Amino acid sequence: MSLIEEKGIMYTLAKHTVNCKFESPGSNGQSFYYNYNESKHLEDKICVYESDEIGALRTRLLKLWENDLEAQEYIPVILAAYYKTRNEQRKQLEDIELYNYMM
Amino acid sequence: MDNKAIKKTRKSDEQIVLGISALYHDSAAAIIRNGEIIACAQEERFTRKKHDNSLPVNAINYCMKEAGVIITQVDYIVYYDNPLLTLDRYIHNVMALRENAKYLIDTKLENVVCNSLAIDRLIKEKFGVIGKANKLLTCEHHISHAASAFYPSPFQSAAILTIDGVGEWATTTIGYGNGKKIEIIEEIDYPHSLGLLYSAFTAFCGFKVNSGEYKFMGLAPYGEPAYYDLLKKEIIDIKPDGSYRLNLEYFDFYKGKYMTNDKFADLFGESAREMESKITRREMNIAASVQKLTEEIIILLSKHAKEITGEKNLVLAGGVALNCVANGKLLKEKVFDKIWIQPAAGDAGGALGCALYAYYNYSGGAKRTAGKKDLLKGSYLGPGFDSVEIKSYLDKNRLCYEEYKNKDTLYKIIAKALSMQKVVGWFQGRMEFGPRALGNRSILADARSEKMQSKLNLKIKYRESFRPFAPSVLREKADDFFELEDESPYMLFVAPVKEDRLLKFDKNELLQRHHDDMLPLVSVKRSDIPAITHVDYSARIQTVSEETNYDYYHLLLEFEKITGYGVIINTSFNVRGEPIVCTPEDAYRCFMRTEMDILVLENYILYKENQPQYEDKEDWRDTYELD
Repeated sequence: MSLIEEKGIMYTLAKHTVNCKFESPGSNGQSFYYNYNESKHLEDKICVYESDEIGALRTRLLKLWENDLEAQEYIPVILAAYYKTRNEQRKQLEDIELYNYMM
Repeated sequence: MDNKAIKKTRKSDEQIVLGISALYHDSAAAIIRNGEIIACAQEERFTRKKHDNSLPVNAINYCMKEAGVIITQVDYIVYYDNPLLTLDRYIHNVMALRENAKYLIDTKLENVVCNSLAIDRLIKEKFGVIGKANKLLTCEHHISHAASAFYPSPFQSAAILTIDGVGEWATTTIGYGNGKKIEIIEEIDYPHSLGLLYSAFTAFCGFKVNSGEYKFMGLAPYGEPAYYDLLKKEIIDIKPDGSYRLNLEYFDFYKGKYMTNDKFADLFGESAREMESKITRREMNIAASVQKLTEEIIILLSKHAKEITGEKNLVLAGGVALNCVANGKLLKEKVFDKIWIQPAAGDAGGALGCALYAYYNYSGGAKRTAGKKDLLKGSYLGPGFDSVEIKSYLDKNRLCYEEYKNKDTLYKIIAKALSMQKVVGWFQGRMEFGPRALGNRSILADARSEKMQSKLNLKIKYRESFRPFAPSVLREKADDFFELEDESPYMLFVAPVKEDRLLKFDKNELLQRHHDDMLPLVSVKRSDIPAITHVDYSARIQTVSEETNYDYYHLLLEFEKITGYGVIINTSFNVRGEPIVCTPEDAYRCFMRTEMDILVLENYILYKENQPQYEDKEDWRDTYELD
């Protein structure tokens, strides 16, 4: 599928990033370990995952990035790419069903 | 799949959990019933596409068939990674790169957003429903690895060390397991990754990432760790507690296209080695240096794990745990009393891990009590084919075979053939889960032969000839041949060949004399079992017990009766670039494409000279991408 437009938008966002770099703890100290709770994890190590409910993915992403305004800027383009792919795949399935029906 | 044909053996009090790994590399499925492992298989074995990363539809169908269930009878389906956290890492990677993010966006966006984020939809589209509850569970990646190592282990409690390229964010974790509880205490996060470091050097030395790492490991004994100090000075900062940080100025993997950059190449005098080109002393020395560094880090990590957990046993998983040379050194250090490593330590094993984690921590699974033995059933967890099925295949294709209803006779015949330097394709029982062949889908040969390493490399495996082969040895005779006190049933430990068996030679002098050509070293007799003795006198060992693999054990026993040696070569049943064979048809095809002498399919023996003319439908050398 073509995601040219979405990739372009994402690249534009990336170029204008202000405040993001890779970090690791203990730069001046004795250890580069993160405690598990310091690193990025969701509340549960195992959880129900649903992406396809309308609005559910957006809600999850907002929660994931509730303190990260720069990352939140990517939500629209992520959703656009996701639903574009879903719709294209659904259309392909519909086309296959229609073909089989006609045959 | 014909659902009506599935025998519905499901009882009302059973818990069936299906685990899936997919979309990155080595897709697999695993199914458990009330915590018991029923079946596991990698998708590549069905599709014949090595490291297949697509949704493992075939493996899932196989697992359900083996468990006697259909999709609506599966209580939980679990995915081995958290797509939201992986997306989080991807987006922050993009953001950190700023104007350099184009390649990463162009090449990875589809997989991260359209596949991984949509994993529940992909499963629903293929199977109509996501199990009984029609909801997917996702489990953190390193928790999946940790669970794959701890739950099947024979330990009630243990320290857990997982090391890979990257999961969501974590690349290395230290934790502990007790009963059914698993906790991660500390971790190292992307982009600082021992797995990616090893892969970067693998690529620099001209091998393929995610498949060439064990070749890179096999190259190390030819070299000297001449770059070790340079690596510690420039490439990586290692703390006494085992934590580490990469100097990202030398790496490009976080940009998506290349693993390393020009600055990295300058450190080693010139650019990366081209694939398939001549291997020079530089690559040998780089491999030796990186291997030494990796061993050092793993030992330090383990010591730290011991310190913070207080446990006396250790379990390991994650792709780096397949570095059996490092595992052997770790065993020798005696940091822990006992070590157990998941044989499918890479992403495939994550399918099993997430299923087990879900069973014990989500579905209210029963209390866990570890037994004396591990729960992996020898890792023989894939499809098996009975004599009726095999006979049907042989007759349908009008192949020439001999049947032996009494397998004792078959063991004797094959043992005799091996002792006469015949190469045997050995196909028995259920297929192995994990990258190693363990005597059910194996090519076997006589380890005593000086010429066998070259013969197998060039005429059977069609691969680089510097690579050594590995032995299978009777468990009770391992100590006669190797400096190994513990069991090694999954070929995950390298240990030295016994001193009194060795024939010493000067590796460096030979390399110098032959202008760094490794072939002359390969043909130097290094011990009385030269075909499995590496140039540093080590071997990657599988110990075989009667309880775990009756057929293979008794074959070895017969071989010992004839030769006095209870050890043979065991290499995986495939040619280079091909996944290990799964079906009798795969086995026959591989047999006929190579110079193997004999094929054994359960009770049936096929001799090459008796077979009809074989016509390949394809030029298979074009089919299998060089790995």
